[in-house]
Parts: sequence; C-alpha cells; structure tokens
Amino acid sequence: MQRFLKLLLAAAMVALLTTNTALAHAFLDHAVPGVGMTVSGPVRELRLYYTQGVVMAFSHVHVVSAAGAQIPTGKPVNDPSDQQTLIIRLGRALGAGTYSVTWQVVSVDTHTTQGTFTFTVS
Amino acid sequence: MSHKASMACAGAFAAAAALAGIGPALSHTIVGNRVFPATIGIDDPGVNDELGLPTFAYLANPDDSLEYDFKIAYQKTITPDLSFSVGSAFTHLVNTVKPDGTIGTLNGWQNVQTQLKYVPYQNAEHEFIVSVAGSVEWGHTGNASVGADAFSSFTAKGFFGKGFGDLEAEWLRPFAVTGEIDYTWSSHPIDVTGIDPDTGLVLIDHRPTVLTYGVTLQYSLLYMNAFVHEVPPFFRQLIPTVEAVFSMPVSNIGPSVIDSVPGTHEVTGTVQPGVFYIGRLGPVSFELGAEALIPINRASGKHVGAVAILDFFLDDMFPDSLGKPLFGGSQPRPAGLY
Repeated sequence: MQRFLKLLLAAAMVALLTTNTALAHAFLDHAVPGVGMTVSGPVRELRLYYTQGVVMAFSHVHVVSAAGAQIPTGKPVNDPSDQQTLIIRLGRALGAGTYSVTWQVVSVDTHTTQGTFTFTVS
Repeated sequence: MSHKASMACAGAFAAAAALAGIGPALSHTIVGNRVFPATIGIDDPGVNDELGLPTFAYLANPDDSLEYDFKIAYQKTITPDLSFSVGSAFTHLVNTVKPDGTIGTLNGWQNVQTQLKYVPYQNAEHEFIVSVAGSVEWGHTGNASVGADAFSSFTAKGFFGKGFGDLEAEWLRPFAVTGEIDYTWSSHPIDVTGIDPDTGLVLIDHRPTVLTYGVTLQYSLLYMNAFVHEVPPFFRQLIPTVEAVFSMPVSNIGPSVIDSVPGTHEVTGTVQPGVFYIGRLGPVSFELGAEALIPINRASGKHVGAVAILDFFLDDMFPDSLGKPLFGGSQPRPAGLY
C-alpha cells in the first residue's frame, strides 16, 4: 500500500510539471503588461494570453486611464501562431500612470468570459 | 450496545465524519469570474459533468485500525441547473476487528450513493451561488464487513458559495468561502439485534439522525493571477484551501454507553488544510488536490490522516457529448459575464 501511494505521488508530480492551466472557459492566464504589475514605458500594445483559444471577431478590449479617459485601441487580433493570444495595438503610446483593462472574449467552445485588471506605467 | 460493537462503530463513525458531505457528487463550479474547486471535505456548490477517480483517504481510526478509502464518483448534468450523481468507495481496513473476532485486514465496497442536485440561484456579478440536493445511500449494496450499512439512509443537503471578487480591497478579492449542511436519517432508525445473555435485556442498535456541516475558506491564486496581480507559473494554478467538517447526532441517539468512542452524543470532525491544482495534460483537463485530515478530538481519529482527489472536467474534455447537459444548453449565465 505504501509503495503504491509513493508511485501515485510520483506520477502526480510528473503530471504537475508538464501541465498548464485549463478550464472549460477562456480565463486570462497572463498579460503583457502583467496584471497588477508596474512596467517602464512607453507601452504601445497589450497582449492577453488565455487558457483556451478565443474568437477575435467576438472579443472586445477597452483601456481606460486613471482619469477615466478612454484610450483608443485597434480591434483585437489573434496571434497568428497562437489562437489563445489576443494582441491589441494602442492608438497612442501610454505614458506614466495607472490603466484599467476590461476584456470580454468568446472561447472556441462558445463560452463568454470577461474580466478587468490594472497595470501601471512608470 | 457491547463495547466491541461500540468500538467498531467508532471507526465507521469517525470515517463518516471525515468523509461527511462528500456524497457521490464531486464537481468544480464556475460562477462569474470565480472557480470554486471540487473540494474534499464538503462538495462544491454547483452542478457539473465530472468524474472523480479517485478520491483517496487515509484515516487512523480511534479503534487503532487504519483505513484507506478509494472513492469513485460520476456526476452528469440533466439540465444546466440539475445533476445526477452516483458513487461508491472501496475500503481497505488494516489492524481491524474481523467478524471472527481476530485482528486483521478487511476489504470491501461501501454502499452505493446517488444524488440529485439543483441550483435555484446564482449571481455571477457577486460570485454567489446556492444549491440543494437529496441523496440516498442504498443499504445492502456494499460489504457489511467494512461498515456498509444494511439499511438505506437519506440526506437532505444545502450548499452555498461566495467569492469576494466584488470587494474593493485587492488583497481580499482572491478569497472565497463555501459551505454545506446535511441532515441524514436512516430508513431503519431502530434495529433489534438480539438478547443479552447476561441480563436478558433486548439489544437495540440506534442509527442516529445526524447533522453534518462544513465550510471551506479558499485563497485562489488562479483568481489573483487573472484579476488582481500576476502570479508566477505553476503557482497561478493553485487554490490553497482550509476545510472544516463536523458531524453531530441530533436525535434517535439512544442511551449513553460508558467508555464508548465516540461518545454517543459527541461531535466528531476534522480540519483539513490543503491545496488544489487545476491543469491540463494533453486533452485531459483535471484537478488534483491534497489535504491533511486533522481530527478535532480522539473520537474523530487517532492521528493526522490524509485525503487526495483527482477530478476530471468532462465539460472541458467532451463539450459536445459527455460534458454537456442532457437537456438544454450549457449553464445559463447573465449576458456578457459568462
């Protein structure tokens, strides 16, 4: 019994080292600039990496400054090599300040998810 | 009830306390931006298409026996808010009292359990959900030698879940709580087992009506990474959790038995700190979790045990077949939120 449990634990550790996040819906895995992070400017584009492929035609991303001003953005497009990544080119380079990103995407299995995060440009 | 029978019941009672509330339903639930993992001490508050294979538990019973349980459970959504579950557990008992009175090893299956669960309300914006369930443990479907009851029992259940993503303070937003309360009664609350040869008194087994309740406190690094602050890879897939589950006989308890463990009116339970990991290996979407089982008193266990779970998310692996409700589409969500 103890040997079986040790083997089971070893198998679980191998599985953990080779896995990535996955859910039935496209949640944000990480972003550039990162969620809650402070980056040095200027920032000219956002990259949002999701846990599942997203359909760019039904995805929306908005960027707002701390003063509430809407930052002009281009239409989100998929990374040609990775359907789980959205690239949003900004209408202007972001200067110093804190910005709020609101996203809404439709995953390839047709579920809609949305979220909001902030980042700071130093 | 004889002392030997009392001790035998103690092991089963403590095991039931540790596994209380699991039932046959194991699921993870997504409400708005919140993922409630499939917890072990209590069930999570939603309905889903999932396969728990297995949930493993190691218990040191107060009667000095060691118990290893391997639980299998399958949950299938009938509609987006209604599910049916079926499950059982294989038990390996070591250093236990065998039917012939000797000390040794016993193996066998617990009774089959089935459950219907319904979600009457959920609020994605506030990450809040409530659900109710009714379950049956079917007597005589398991092996009596490992404690499976010959008679059926019925349980009425209530669940809730609340994520705190709607709070202003960012450090509080990854927190979530879930809870479950069960009311269990037997189809044969009183059973005449014989005549005491010494006293001539009728021997009666009481199957108490039991109230089981539990709560989890979760700190979701999964949530923190997506909505609060970036978390390093691997850690961003973790949900550290503390669970607490308690059982208390509330009626049909019978007379107190001197030196019985647990005491006939005693509350048993466990505190279970641990962590859940959500990931994917190729096409397989799964959750892996492990917790320590810390008994709250001697009646709940002799020393710390352990539980672990491997849960497969069928709604992710087979979204067009096994993973979708029999009737209706996927779980309804407020427009734009899910």
